[in-house]
Formats: sequence, C-alpha cells, structure tokens
Amino acid sequence: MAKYFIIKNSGNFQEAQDTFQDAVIVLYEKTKDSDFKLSCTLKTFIYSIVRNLWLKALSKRQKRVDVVDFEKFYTLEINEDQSKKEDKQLDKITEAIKTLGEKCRKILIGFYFEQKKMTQIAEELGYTNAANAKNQKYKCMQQLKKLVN
Amino acid sequence: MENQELDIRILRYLNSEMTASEKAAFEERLNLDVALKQKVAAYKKLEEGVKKYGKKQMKADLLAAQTAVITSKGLENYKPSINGGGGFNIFSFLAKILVLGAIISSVLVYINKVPFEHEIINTIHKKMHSYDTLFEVKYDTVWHTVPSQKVNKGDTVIIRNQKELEQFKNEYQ
Repeated sequence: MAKYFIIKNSGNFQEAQDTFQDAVIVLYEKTKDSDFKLSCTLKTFIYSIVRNLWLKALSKRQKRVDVVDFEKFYTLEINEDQSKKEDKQLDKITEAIKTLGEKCRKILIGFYFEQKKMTQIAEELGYTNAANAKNQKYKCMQQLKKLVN
Repeated sequence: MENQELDIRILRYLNSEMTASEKAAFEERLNLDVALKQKVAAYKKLEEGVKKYGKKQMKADLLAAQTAVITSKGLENYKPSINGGGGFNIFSFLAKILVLGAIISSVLVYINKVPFEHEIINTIHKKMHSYDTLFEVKYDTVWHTVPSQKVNKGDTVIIRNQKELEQFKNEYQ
C-alpha cells in the first residue's frame, strides 16, 4: 500500500523502499515514547507516516502533485529528522563510530538510539552493574570525541 | 584529568543524570562560560551522530530483511512494472480477472450448474407457441416483481430466480 502510494505519486520503487524504511524507524521511535498510543490500525498508521514523509519530500523538491490515496490516513506530526539533513560534521561522527570497538558501539547505540536503560545494557553486554556500564559509556563518548576532533 | 571530569559532568548533564541542585549550578556556569557552551554543543552533536548511526544501521537491517523476504519467495528477478517501481498493473489485473472469470464459467457450465437461462428461454418459446402470448423475460435485471395474474400481452416479466420461474410456469401452463 505504501509502495503504491509513492509510485502513484511521482516516486519510484527505490524511493518507496527508502521511505517505508524511514516510516518503520519513525514507528520504532514512536513506540519508545511512553505517551504514544496507537489509535488506529497499524496499517493505517504506517500508511499515514509514509504519506507524511513522502509529501514532505515532494515539497522539498518543490514538486506539486495531486495526491492519489489508497487508504484512509491520519494527519500526523512527525518531527523534522535532523539526521537526514546534509551535515558534514554528522557524517564525520558516523564514520568515527565505525572505528570504535564493538562494545562501545553497542553501548552508545543502545543508550542513545534504542533508549535502553543502563541496567539492560549492562546485562546484555556482561557488565557487573549499571554503574560500570555507565562509566564505560562516558569513556566511549570521550573516545568518540577524540576521534572526531 | 580535569578535562575528563568536565566531560563526564557534561554528559551527566545532557543525559539528565544530575541532581536538581547540580543541574542548577551547572546551568548557572553554562550561562557565563562560552567555552563550556561550545563543549556541551559538541557533545550534543556527538549524541546526534550516534542516533544517526543507529538509524542507518536499522535501515540497513530493514533492507537486508526486505531482500531476504523477496529472495525467499523466489522473486530474485522481481522487476517493478510502474515507473521502474513495483506493483500494480491494471492491464495485468484485468487480464487475470477475465481469465479467472472464464475458468469459473467453464467449470460451472461443465458441471451443469447454470441451466437457468436455457430454461427461461424455453419457457418463453413455450408461451409464445402455446398461448400466443409474447412475454419479454429479463432474468438478469431486477426492477420489481410483477404478480403473474396481472401479466398481459406485451408486458415485461422479471424472473429473478428458479422459484419465481416455477411460479410463472405453474400459473401460465
């Protein structure tokens, strides 16, 4: 459904796939929000996110389209994805993360992206307690800072 | 060492790990210290970078999962048909419907489940010859049911089903 929507509205298969993946990530981030409540079917929700993302993408390209819909949708407010903006500094940081050790990467992604609690990270990565994992997180961030500077 | 401690304080501040009084003191200093502000901004940027990296990884995983689903269904050579995209082709869809319809009709005729039309036509012929009355029978369009006793020459009779046909026959034979 999401794919048809994008293809029928000036997009192609690649863009449809890309937007769908972004929509899944938005959904993932929404589920991390404790205030989030799904008030429609999952299908309608994903379709609404895809629709929203794609219309934003089209407006950035200053492309006017008479929108063809295939499903009922909700008007959603999705925060502007800062990470999608062109930013050389951010690109440098993501490159630096690749050079960190695996444990460091897992701690940082677990904490900042997956929003896991330090107790969970400690358990998953074999630290004796959350405080040790937290200290390791500080060290990893300092290491990352050095790599970027 | 001092720098390391400051880094940890910045991270504790950004990760909301400070007590209320610690936070107030830190923010007071932050308002006065431009260098500290820059360091905090740099760490915020690092956090943003980690999130971006996480999203990239997740997208890569999703792409791998999508590819795995497609290949596991034997669709390795799947080529989208619209605008280089995948999906819906109206001509192909209509062709499939027509073929499906033809197959279903053939099967029904074969197992003799649709004698209804022939029976009606036969009935009309019978009526024409035996009673010299012409009835036009529309068996596929339902307008209303005409009580048989009111049927006169030239009237249109609508027979919707086998039961009505039987009733029609009984009353006019």
